[in-house]
Amino acid sequence: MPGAADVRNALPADAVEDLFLNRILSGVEQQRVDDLDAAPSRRLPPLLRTPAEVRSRQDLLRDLEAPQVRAAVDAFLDRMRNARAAARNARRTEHPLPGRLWRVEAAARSTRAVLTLRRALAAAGPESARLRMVCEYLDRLARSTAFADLAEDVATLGRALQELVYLLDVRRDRIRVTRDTGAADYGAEVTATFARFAHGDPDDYWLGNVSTTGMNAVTAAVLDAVAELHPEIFRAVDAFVARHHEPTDATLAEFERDVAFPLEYLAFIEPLRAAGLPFCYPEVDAESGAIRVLDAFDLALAAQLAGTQEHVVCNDLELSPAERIVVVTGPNKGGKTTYARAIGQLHVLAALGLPVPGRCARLPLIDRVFTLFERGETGGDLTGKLADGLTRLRAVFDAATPRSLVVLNEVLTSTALRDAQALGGEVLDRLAGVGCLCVCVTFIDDLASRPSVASVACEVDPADPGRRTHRLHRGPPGGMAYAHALAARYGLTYADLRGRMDGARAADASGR
Amino acid sequence: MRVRLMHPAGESDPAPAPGAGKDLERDLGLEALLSAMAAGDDFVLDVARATLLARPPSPEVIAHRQQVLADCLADRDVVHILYELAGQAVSAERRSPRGMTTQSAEPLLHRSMRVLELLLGHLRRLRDAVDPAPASFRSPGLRDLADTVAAELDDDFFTAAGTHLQELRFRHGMLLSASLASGGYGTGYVLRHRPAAGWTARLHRGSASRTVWLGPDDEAARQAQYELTTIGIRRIAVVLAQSVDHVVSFFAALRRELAFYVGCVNLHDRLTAIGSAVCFPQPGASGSDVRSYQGLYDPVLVLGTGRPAIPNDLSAEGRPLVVVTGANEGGKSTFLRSLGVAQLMMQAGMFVPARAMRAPVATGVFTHFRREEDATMTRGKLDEELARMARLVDGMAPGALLLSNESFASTNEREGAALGEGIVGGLLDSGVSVCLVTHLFELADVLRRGRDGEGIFLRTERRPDGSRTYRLLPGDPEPTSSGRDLFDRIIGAVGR
Repeated sequence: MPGAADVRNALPADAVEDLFLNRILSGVEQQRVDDLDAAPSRRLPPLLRTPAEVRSRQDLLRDLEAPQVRAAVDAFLDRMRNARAAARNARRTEHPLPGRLWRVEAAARSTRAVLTLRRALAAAGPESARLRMVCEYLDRLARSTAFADLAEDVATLGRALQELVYLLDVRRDRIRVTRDTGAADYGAEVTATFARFAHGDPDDYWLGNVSTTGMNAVTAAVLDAVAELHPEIFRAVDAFVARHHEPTDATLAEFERDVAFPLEYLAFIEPLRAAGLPFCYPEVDAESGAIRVLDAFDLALAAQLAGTQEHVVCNDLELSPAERIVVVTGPNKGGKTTYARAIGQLHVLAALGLPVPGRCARLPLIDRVFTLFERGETGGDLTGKLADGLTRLRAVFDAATPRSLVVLNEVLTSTALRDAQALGGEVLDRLAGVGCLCVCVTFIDDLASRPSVASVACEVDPADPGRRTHRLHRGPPGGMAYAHALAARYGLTYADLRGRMDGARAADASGR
Repeated sequence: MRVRLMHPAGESDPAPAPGAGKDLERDLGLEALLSAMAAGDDFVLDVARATLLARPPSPEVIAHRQQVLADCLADRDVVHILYELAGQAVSAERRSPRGMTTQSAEPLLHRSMRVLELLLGHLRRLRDAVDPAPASFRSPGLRDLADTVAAELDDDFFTAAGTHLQELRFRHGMLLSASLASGGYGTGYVLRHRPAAGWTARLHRGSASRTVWLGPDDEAARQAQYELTTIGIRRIAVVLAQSVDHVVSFFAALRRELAFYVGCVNLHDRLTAIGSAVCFPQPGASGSDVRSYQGLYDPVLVLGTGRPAIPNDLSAEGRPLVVVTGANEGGKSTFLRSLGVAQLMMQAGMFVPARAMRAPVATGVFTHFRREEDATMTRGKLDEELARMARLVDGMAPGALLLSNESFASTNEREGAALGEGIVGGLLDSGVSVCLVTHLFELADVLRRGRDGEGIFLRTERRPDGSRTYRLLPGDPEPTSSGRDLFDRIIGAVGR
């Protein structure tokens, strides 16, 4: 059973940032409805531990994708939020009677939430084990004596309170409260007097919203007066509050917590799906096996590009069981880092049991993610940077397991090329020794030729080597092709320069 | 309470008729007619223009209006009193602008109460003016107005309205009913009618009550009271404002419909003062083909010269085509205009400038007059004429009336005749009546020979000495127009 420390480190903060999982999380949280009682998570849920858990979570999400189930669960969450709001009002008010009425309201809202969810789920017929369990629980709960009594009491009381009408005689120095006498509706009388002139639709007058300042001493006193004049109903209120304590059902609270993130995630990917981007439920293996991913893409980038004309590029990854190290090479801005991020996101989202960005996917279930992305020039000395990078690498070697995922992005840039080639080779060898899955983005093409390394390179368009397609394929590194094409575009290839220099020299000579 | 002076069922204003527009107004010289009707009142001017150019109603509605107009001509005083009254009521409301008051309950209520007080005064004066109904009210329209006012603006109404204005000052406080919302807040406030004084005592005795006293310096008290009263009057404020709007729109409708009759009376007086005859015409259903006029003249000409004009007669039973030829300045255009103006006046429900007239209601009146600026008669002008004709035809339906004055004069006689014959023939066969003034002999002649049974042919009368009488008599087109006369008169034997 993994300890708390493991859980905490399964997704370290820098990994979340490097892989743009923080942006995905932020996008998902924007789907959340405000709920002052729920703690903001600001963190991804913990990774699931077994393929069975993953399949169970996937089944739950499949259920939640069905409109009827989704509607039922959304409505339930909404009602429970409102019930908690009522309970909060009860705690906060300084007047006893409103407090008691809020507690009645809270009970009414939560019983209605439970009964409606039970009915709606029964009608929708969910298939996942999780939701079936919830259905069974709701059945038992509804049939239990305690709940049945509560529901009946609150319904009766609710009806009585709704039907209550009282009269206020508002004068300058007093407010007289009486029971309803059935006096005539004055508005209706005035309308009737002038109805003889009416024809066609009258103008509508919108007088703005009514703003009230809430319960103060006077309005509370009015309420107390109403209570005194209707003793039978308010005795029932007191009795209700005494008999029924605030019910917080632990099982249902856990259910609310469990479905919150999946629902928000589904809402987050909904517009991307609608725009035609592929999502699928991956097959996850406990042991390292063949990896096959088709049409994966960077989810954070896709969300960012949504609504613009820019096209999201999808890429594949296929590895045999023996291949665990992937070396990604290509020119600047060729899509290497995006590719590495997409692979990283894919594995994390798969381990959370969520539908992943891609047409189909078969992946190992990872236990942790480590990322080492080049931090950019901080102005410090190169030796310091190298030491820093190596220290971080050391931590990876210490903690990585065969089920971990390591993503390296242009590490070891702060040393000479010859050193980097050698050190890079060593690093890959050590990681091969650990046996974890590793994606390594690098400009050192030689690393891609090492034995049992899978080489993935940016596609080069032979007709226009300078063009970036952002597509990557299994294959040898492109070598100098990119650089040459870039130089040619600016007339700076070797041949160009010789030609220009010769011309200049000739002009110089003739001018002398 | 509907105003039914213009229509037995009190319909709202119809749309402009097909063919109505600036061209029609200018060609028929309506501005002078409308000014005579307005006699300086711009509101009457606008109403008169809108009515003359509106989609024509059925012969039944025309008869309804004629009857109202007959009453107005018999008793001008009542009409003017009512018109002034309605105008004052509308102004009274305008002097209290709504402005920002429409955004919150209390100002809205107070503004409505102020205006309603004024309007009740005007309603009283209205009742006094038509109850009992003046003896001159014979027409269904005016009798209906008198009956409705007597029935609806009775003493009970004024008593009730006055009571409301008193009660809504809330001198004795405000009575509100409420229900409980969650947390014990009051909701669903409805203003209730406070029973009369005697009842209050019974109310106190009958049921228990609790009193919450409000201290004079108590902020909570002030706040609660303010909120309660503001919420309490929301609905009633809207109800009263809408009631005020209804009363105002009644007076506005009355003013609008009376304005038309005031204009008719003004015009009647001007024309008869000049010694010109007017009569109520007999409108026929659209498509019927009895068209006859006796003593028809152009009222615009009469208003302009201040002298009676030479009248004309026309009898065109079953003949939808009228062709007028003859000497220049012989009265042809005037005749055409008189046909058009008389048609519009009849359709509006007015009297007409004639001793007698029978004509079908036209689905639209269209004018195609030669533009005065077309002095050069170049080829481009023909395009303009044809384009204009095409636009007119777009709006035409069977039963329309086309008045054509020197159409296609912008080209040579042969071409003009060919165009004219095709267009006139096409329109006639589509059920459109055409009255045509032309000096193109070829066109008149080909119509004479081809459409003999469908046409009436008139010619300007000429005395033996060549002078004009401005009368039109039945006569075939003659090859020469009387340019000869003018030549002889002006040039004479000079240089011979």
